[in-house]
Amino acid sequence: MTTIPDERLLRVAYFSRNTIAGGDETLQEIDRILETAQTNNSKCGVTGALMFNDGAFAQILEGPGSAVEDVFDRIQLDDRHNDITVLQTDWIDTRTFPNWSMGFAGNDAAAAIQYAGIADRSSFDVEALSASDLIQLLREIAIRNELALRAA
Amino acid sequence: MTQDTALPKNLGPDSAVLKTAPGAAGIGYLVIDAWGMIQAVNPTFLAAANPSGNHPDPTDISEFELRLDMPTSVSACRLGGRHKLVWVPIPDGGWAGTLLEDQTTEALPPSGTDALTGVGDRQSLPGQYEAMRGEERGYALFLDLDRFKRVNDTLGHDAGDALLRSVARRLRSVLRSADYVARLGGDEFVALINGEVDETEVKAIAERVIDKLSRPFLVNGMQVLVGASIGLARSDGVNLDEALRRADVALYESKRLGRGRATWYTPEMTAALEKRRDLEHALRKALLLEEFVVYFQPQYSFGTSSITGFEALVRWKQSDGIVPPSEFIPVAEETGLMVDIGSYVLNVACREASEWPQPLTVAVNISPLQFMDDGFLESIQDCLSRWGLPPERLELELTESVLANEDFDVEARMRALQKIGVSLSLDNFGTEYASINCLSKYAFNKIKIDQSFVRDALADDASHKIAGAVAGLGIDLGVNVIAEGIETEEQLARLRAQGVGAMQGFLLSEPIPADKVSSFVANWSETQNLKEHEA
Repeated sequence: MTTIPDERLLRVAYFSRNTIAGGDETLQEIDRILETAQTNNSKCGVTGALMFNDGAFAQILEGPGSAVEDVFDRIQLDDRHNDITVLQTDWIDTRTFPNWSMGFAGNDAAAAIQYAGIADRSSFDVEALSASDLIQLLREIAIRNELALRAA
Repeated sequence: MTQDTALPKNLGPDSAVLKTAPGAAGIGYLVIDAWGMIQAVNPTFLAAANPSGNHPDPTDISEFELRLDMPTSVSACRLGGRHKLVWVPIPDGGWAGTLLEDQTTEALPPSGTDALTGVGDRQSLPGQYEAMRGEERGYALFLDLDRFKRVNDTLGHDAGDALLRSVARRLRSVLRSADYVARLGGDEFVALINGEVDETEVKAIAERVIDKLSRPFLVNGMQVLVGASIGLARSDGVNLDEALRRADVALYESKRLGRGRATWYTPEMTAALEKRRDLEHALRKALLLEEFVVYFQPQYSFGTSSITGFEALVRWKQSDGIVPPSEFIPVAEETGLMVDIGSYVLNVACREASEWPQPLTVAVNISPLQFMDDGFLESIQDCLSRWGLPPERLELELTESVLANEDFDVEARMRALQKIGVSLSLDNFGTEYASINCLSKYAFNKIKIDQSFVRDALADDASHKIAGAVAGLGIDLGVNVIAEGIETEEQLARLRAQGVGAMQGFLLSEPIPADKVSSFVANWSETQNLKEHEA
């Protein structure tokens, strides 16, 4: 995957259901996802944000169009989630997320503590990200689905 | 081996993985997991990858990774210099690559590869199939994308090609390394599934393929949703052509059942398909020989206490009797012949109506295919002018399935038809998709309550209520409501009481031949067998 320098930047936001069993397994898998994302995606110039809880993933990818399409396609092969819904695709001039950040978005206090380490390692700051309407929306959907999962 | 900064952090020269990786044998190798992450690499590999020192930093695995596609079968890919990497699968979905000297000079990919997607091509299938059959048994999986044509039509062929490349990638990721994938052409793919799994597992694999292909694709920065239908067949005792034919028959069945599913081939499918083909041939012949005849069933208005029109109903007259519509209409719809049959009926209906002594309406059933046909509007206008029939005397009956079509602007076509002056009625209301919402969204002139609600009404309280609710709604929306299939005085009395404005059914008259219509209308005022209900 080579990056064409002047290729237009694409932003994609999607939401999906987390199918990882939960508990420690989630922690391990999330750890793995972060590692893969940081090494693989940065190579091809894709940055973004990933929010998760025991019920849902909400992700934003930004980067050169073809690179984002490749990363998105690889994500579709992942069995750790399903019911993927694309909320937005947009050509953009500047990135809102120039780095990779990833963090827990949910109301479950125990889970928040459990996943705190991941947010630290990826400098995830929900409050700072809240400036973006999109992030706000994704976060709300993720939280709603965290609760739906627990009710089920 | 001096710069290790670019290595993934678990793979630096000091990492446990690297230290334990044996290098003494002098064979370079690399191990990746199912996600393409490098799990182990030995110094021989790293050294061999950069014999001269001219290449970019050989220890920069991430640089190297960029040049790698995930392997999908036992295969070789050429590296720079004089080496090639031969991949073999390892447990848990990972791959081990062994570095060998490349003796050959011809360019990869080898023949037998589909240039667009990188999977096998049609020509490569016979060899692969024989190899698979050599190992006892196997399975053929025939896949066809759902809604692919729409992508090509609306986003262009470049987008279609990009989509096909992603489809091939997703297919290979689901299938195991022992399986073989080829593209037959267009959006058709075939997979040969190695026989070490049983049929239940093959079905599960097929369903995973469908799941992965139903997930969104990004093409040219846009989301594209397709899907896939699959047919499955066993390879035992049959050659490739037969196995593919069977899988194709099963694929046809998957599509017939509503797409997005996988179906195993059964011999009954071939029999049913042959029967359908025979019927299709017979239908074509019947069109040519004008074996279709049009019958007319009267409609009666309670408001004016008179016959207001007739519904044209098609019958297929064969030498040995009449074939009921239920036996040939579905096949006519499936094969597209319904467009021709429908035009024929429309023409006969307009011709007959133009000769009736009174200006009664004629209602004609329009199939979804006919309705969406490019030339439909024109054919209506032609037909009206050919027979000099005023447009307000023609009523087109549409079924709810017309409204369910997402790819077609139903409203625009309805408006265009009503602009000509013909009226539209919603047939079989309540049996398919239509909700009450449809009635306000689409401006129908008339609603026909399906006969199932009329017939079952005495026994079934729910049907009773539905018929009543639709009648009430019709009154509120200012739309005429007609009940069809009325057979008894009791049904008639009840539906009248509920506010239904008109009726059609055996109680009034069965469908009659065209030449009996005039006498039926003339005699009507004398018989007036419905008069007793005018109280």
